[in-house]
Amino acid sequence: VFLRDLLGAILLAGVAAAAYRRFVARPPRRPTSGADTYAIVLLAVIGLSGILLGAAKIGSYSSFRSMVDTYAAPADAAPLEAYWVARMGTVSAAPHRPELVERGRELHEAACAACHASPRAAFVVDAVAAVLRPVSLRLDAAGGARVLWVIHFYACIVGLALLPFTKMFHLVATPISLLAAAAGDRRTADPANAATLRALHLDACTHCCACSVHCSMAVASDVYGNANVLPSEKMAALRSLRSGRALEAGELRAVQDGVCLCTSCERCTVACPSGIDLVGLWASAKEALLARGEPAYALLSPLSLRRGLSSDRLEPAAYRAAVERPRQAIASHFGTAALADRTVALQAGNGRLLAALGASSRTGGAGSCFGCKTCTTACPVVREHAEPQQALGLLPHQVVYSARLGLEGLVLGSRMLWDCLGCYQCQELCPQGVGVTDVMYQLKNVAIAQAAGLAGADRPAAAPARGGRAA
Amino acid sequence: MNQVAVMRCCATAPLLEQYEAATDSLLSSLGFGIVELDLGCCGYPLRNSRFEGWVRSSARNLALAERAKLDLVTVCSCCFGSLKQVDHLLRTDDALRAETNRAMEGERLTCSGTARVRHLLEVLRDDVGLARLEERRTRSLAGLRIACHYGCHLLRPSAVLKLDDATSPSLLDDVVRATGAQSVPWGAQLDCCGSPVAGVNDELARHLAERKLASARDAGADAMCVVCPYCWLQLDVVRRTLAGRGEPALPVVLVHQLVGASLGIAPEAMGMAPDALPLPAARQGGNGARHG
Repeated sequence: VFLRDLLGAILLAGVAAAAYRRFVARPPRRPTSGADTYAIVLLAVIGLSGILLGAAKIGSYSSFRSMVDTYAAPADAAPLEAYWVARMGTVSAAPHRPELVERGRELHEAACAACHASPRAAFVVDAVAAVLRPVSLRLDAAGGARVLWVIHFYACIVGLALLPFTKMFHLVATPISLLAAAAGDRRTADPANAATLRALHLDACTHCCACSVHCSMAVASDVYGNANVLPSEKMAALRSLRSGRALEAGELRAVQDGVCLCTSCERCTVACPSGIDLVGLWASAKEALLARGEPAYALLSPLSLRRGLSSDRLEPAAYRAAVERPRQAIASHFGTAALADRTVALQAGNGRLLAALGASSRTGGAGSCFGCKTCTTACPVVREHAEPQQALGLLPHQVVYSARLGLEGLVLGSRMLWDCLGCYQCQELCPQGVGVTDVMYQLKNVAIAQAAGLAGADRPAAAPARGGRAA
Repeated sequence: MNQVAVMRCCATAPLLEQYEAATDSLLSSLGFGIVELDLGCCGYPLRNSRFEGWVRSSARNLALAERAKLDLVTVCSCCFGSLKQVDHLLRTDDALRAETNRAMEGERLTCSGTARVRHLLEVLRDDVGLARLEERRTRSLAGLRIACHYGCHLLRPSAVLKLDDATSPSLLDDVVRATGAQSVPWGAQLDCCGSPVAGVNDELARHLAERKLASARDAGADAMCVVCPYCWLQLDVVRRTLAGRGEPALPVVLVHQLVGASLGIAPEAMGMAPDALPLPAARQGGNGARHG
């Protein structure tokens, strides 16, 4: 009885701490999902109803009465009642008769003590019973113990029945995951075992969010407005995918972006108290998501380094297709193919791009470019090509100058943007102090925002007709 | 003891344990205490897609260092470049600073511009002193001919980074010389390693790295010394591919491993194989001499 109460108290303390953290303190990067609320409510209902049930039964006169009617001789009822009211917590409407307590004790020890220990040991339940004493008779009359028993019993049954389908399955999966993590080195694991472990890992997650707190990309989750950047939320999405639930196109895109906006720094894996190889999960999910054919713009960045390093383990065509897709999507969005004759129309008053570049501290002002080509001469990417303009679309000085002229489609669809290394050779040498590299970065931002159809990024002016010649 | 916060580049934790081990053992042997601030990514990989992602990632790290009142020491050149540039932007662009600080309110963080971002080489030059490094040398690396690879984000944009002369830098050469090794003159020390487009345009990335390795070899170097983990990854991958094809390929070493070796730090403490430095065999017997 003491142990039961101790465990009940520990359970409720844990539930209270979890509820405080999730609903009151709400620290950043510890999002609470429906599954978390379910677990907290379920455990709270089981724990609280159990304790109230115990307390109601201690005070219940009708329980006492039914036992006496079943097991005791009618003459023994009064002394037993006196003893139980004095020592066992029973609450009776009849006046107390202290002179019968001693006789009641003898009867109790002979007949009842084998099954009924003193409630003192049940320190939690006994304390609650003491609190309930003033309302105990009314509670008993209303069948309170019965109602509480039903609540407690069915909450336990529901919890057990749904255990394999809810977050609570981590009770089974987490110990196995921890064992597996301690026993084997995931870098050298057999691929078949690794796949089994990944399936198990999805269930071992307790959604404690330690991963998200340490995620090196957590800031990106806020900036991109995508919860799936956070590892804890990616886990939930991957579980949905595994269970075969069809995600909407938008959800899938968010999961793909979340998986791609990852530096693979492995901080989540290190932080996970359940021993889950999170980065391994992302890597396998990433290829499956990319195979759907939707362009992942995050791949056009150093975030692709890790994927490139492990390219020998990927199917070559799929590997190449995934990085080519966002480039092609951007090129076709800006109608780059239509510029094969290398003539474009100058459109008066189209100064949006220049305004975005020139006024900002981000780019040092592109407006002072006079087209001297120093940047192009300095560019190591230009040097790589015998026919650089053919390979790159626009050369660096043409990018800057065309941006000045407001030729959005031409500039934003140029391949040069995605081969730009960001090495700052051009910017360092520009005699006019144009932030050439910073301009490149800014143009990449605009191109991705427009091609991805992000809010606030409008399409550029319609594809240019023949007209003036640019730079 | 002088306490510093060390920026852990995202590329080093999973792939380059030796990189962090060498940083830590070098800093502690020079009397620095290392404080871990649970810093995040510098934002460099986000720069192509979202300016704000880059700024706010770096800003959060700057704010954490500011709150802890510690210098933020980086070894990765890309982390260094990003943190310095964002620090500069936040100091000069009031609207951007206000917007960034507003976004960090939830974490009770703010950037007021008091954090100092410092590269490990800068700490060696300005806090320790290269003369003192030479004094403390217990093992000369004399005879080792090194091609110093500065790369990009250690120096450029120089108007903001202000670490060294961007056209004829000497910082890395000076540090290498302090180990007793020789720095060979070569033409490609300022060129990009190709890593920014690795995984995006692998052919371009590989060409750039191959050209650098060939150029260093032609200059008579025994090894190329790099600073940044991105450069190391890129050059080492290409070097191993070349070596796998039986073509000549220069070894690549980390600058802090070179310095650590000259200070007598055990190779294992820096995650190095004992024979990782391609010292000329004839000079190996001279290990332990104070002068080379």
